[in-house]
Amino acid sequence: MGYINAIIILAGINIIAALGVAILTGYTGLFSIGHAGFMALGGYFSAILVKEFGVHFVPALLAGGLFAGLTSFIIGYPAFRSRLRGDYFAIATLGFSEAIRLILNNTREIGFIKTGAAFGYMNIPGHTNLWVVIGAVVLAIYFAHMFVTSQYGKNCIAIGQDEVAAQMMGVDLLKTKLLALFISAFYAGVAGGLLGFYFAYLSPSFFTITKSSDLLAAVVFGGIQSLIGPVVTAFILIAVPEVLRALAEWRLIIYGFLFVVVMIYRPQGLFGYVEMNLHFARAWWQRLRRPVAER
Amino acid sequence: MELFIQQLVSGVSIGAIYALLAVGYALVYSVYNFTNWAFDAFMAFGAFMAFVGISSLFMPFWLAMILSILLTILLSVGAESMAYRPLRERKAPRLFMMISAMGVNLAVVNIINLIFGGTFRKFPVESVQPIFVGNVSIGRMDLIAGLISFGVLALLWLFLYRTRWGLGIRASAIDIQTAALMGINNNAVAIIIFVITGVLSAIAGVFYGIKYAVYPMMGIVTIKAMIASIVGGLGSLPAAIVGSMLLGVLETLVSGYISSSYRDLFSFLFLIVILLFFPNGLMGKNVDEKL
Amino acid sequence: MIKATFSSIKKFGLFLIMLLLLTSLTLTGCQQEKVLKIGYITEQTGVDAYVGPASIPALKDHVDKINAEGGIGGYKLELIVYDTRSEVTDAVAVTKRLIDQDKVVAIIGPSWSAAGIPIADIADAAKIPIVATTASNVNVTVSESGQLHPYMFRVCFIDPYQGYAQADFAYNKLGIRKAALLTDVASPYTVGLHQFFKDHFTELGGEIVAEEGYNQGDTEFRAQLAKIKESGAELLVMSAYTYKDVGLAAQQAEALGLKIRFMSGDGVFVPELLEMAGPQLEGAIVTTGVSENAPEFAEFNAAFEAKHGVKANVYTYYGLDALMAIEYAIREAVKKGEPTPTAIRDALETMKDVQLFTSKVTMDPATHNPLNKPLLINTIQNSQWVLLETFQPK
Repeated sequence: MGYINAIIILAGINIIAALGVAILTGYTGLFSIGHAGFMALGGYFSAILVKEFGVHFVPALLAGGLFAGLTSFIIGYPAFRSRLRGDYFAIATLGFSEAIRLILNNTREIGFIKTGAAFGYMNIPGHTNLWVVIGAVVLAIYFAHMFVTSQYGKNCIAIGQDEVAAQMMGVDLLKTKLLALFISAFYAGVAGGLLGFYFAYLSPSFFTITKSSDLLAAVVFGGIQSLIGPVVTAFILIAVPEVLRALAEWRLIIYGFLFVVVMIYRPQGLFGYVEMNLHFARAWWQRLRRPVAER
Repeated sequence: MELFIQQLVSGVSIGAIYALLAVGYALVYSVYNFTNWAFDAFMAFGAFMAFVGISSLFMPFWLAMILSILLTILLSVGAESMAYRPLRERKAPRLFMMISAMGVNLAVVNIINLIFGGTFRKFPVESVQPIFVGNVSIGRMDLIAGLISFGVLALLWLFLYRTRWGLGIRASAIDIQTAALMGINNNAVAIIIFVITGVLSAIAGVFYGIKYAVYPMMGIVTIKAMIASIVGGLGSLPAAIVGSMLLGVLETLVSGYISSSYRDLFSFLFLIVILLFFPNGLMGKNVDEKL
Repeated sequence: MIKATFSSIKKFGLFLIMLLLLTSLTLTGCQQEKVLKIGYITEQTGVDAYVGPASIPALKDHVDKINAEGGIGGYKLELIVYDTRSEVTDAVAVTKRLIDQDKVVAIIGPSWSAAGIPIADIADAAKIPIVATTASNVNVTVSESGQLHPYMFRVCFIDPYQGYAQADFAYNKLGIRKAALLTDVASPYTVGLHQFFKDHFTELGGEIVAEEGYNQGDTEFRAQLAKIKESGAELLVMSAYTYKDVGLAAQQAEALGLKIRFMSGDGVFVPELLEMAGPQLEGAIVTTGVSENAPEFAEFNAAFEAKHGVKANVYTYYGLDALMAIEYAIREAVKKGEPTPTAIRDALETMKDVQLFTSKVTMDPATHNPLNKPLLINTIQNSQWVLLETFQPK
């Protein structure tokens, strides 16, 4: 069942990265189209640790996430200090991620480490398998849930709803946004690391704008202020193109139309504003099962 | 010195293309606070329609241009009424409008790809020799494109500042709800804006196609126009033009004097630095002075 | 609350897995005659969307022809084509799908090295032979640490060989002493070719007077060209991965009044380049492994275009080469017994002077690269490809 394994692994990696975007975009209301850059940072960093320094891959994954998270301050601190919002922040993250890709494309080696520029970083030990990914996804969902239900998470939601009001209530805007960005980049970094250990190969061409906007789409499809939503849609976005692959050229067209249709008929996303709970899932399933006429 | 002047000339001509696109973004953004991510699909669509007009229907250039503009207007207004208006009326967050626009973009670009294939085509017009001033070459096509862009932008300015409709759009740009209360038909404003978007993207697409090539993914360049309009100051037309020129010149100078492979890195760094020191863009002002 | 999440995810996951299983069942339903499936992973959408349409019909035709002649040793062939969206992740996923779900015995593709490198590991792990078409990076068949990928093959020559030959031709035949490089830094193909050109050219005594770069998707080269004009280079080496880059650079060089000879690799050897910038590229040198102008292909080209409305190009030829190599290997395997993937692999490895679509090919068992592939030096005259000479490796 290698193929279904592959789909689940790729979807799992996508889910972890999408959870990161969900915390930043879905909860804190900061629009990012640059998460591919954080994935690249985490991916390369953890791969280098394992391949060149023989670090065990679990701490290496965490270190990769940490590295991506810390690097996010380079863009986060100045951007939040000058209160960049909306499209401004989106383009700044895009610029950041493109800059990282350009640097990777131009870097043949860092000291004795041959990152290979456009050739890609090869012979990374292949540690990612189905169980590693499932474990990582479970932990990622657990910690994301812990975060959004904590006081910090509530502060994030407050900022996402109304920044001015949040500030008046005593929320430290700069610190809270930086924290959300840090966690978000950490998730992306870990996802990038898993990707590298799965392909045993990393190339700057993996981390394009397309990757970032796929992640963003997963969050918006899945629903704002929801974790379960992005998890489900991140899975679908990987799996559905796989199922639709027989349609070849038509696939991306259908994908595009679906974007519009979902936005119009279910603008809050599949699970918008709904926290994880069983009632909702049940209601949703029952509504699906009922005959069309009754809906 | 000659090299420097040549680089400046090239930079301005690149900036002119960015400007046409950036103005389209700025116009939509000023009224709806929303970046029209489908702009690159409109642009490719415009270029392909003109290409079909000339190469398959054997139209003269001007007729093909009109055909392309009309069809692109149709597409642009169609996208507005089907993909954006329902969301606007529901007052959905901007994020959803963007995703919807990304969907339009994905669908249109890939339909073009399905019909015409992914090859790069030369636009079927005679190539013209450049003018040489000393050793510095100035492309005739660049001059023509520059003049037409300038003419279109001037017309747009006249429309916005010298007509009642223009007044309506400017009023909507400042406060769309209040404007509606004052008797301005929001849907009419939307249609006018997207008609203008269609015209601008068709013209930009055709000139981009002539200058470079016609292919489904040609719209990728719009990301630069987006950056230019943000560097200038989102939502302001003159700022979009200034931002475009600055970005065009910066790019050629970086390629010429620093490193051509790091060119885009500098464009993005420029963007980030501008945003840090001028969070509203170079010429961005407060809401009440938009457009 | 967490528990609830998991249960709904699980339901959803189960639902999707069921869906996948259903599709796989319908796809692999029992067949009466013996069928060997061959996969083809190619680009139908994305930046390289011009690769698929020019090659898929040719491969299908060839498979139909084999089947019409009764198949191979009682086996009918079936070609299964999947799109990669020009993305590595998709290329990896479809390769796994071909292997696990469609149970192919061999795979053709991919056309670019960034996908070829991770796919080589999949081939080894699944023990399914893969014949890459135009993935020319050394590390596609031999890993960075020098280990051979036993199940990965290719039918094109590798970058070092082409770069070496280009430098040799430029220095010795054209008498060039000063060359400029314009490199797509995001393309391993271009970076590799230029690296080997530079090494050999400077070794011969030539000088690289300008090294400029750009990034995949760029359309604007005037800043770089203006600098190259200043540098006094006699030759502009631009072995781009897509012909668009060379076509645009040639147009823009003309607009800048830069008269320079272009030199390029097989990535741009497609008829569309001539339509885009034929007059501007007059006298350009393009090295390839195969030429559409060779008289022996004229008939094929005309028939292909008439039948499918698409012009044949290098991807058509290399695709056919890969398919015919697999066809040969299946025939050999059938002679010896069952055409299992391993038997096909063994036959591929020991290929010797086998006539494929473009030329006779001998596979190097140590590297899985074709040996003695001739290198054709083409030029452009009156917007037509003209074959200058054939470069035979020593």
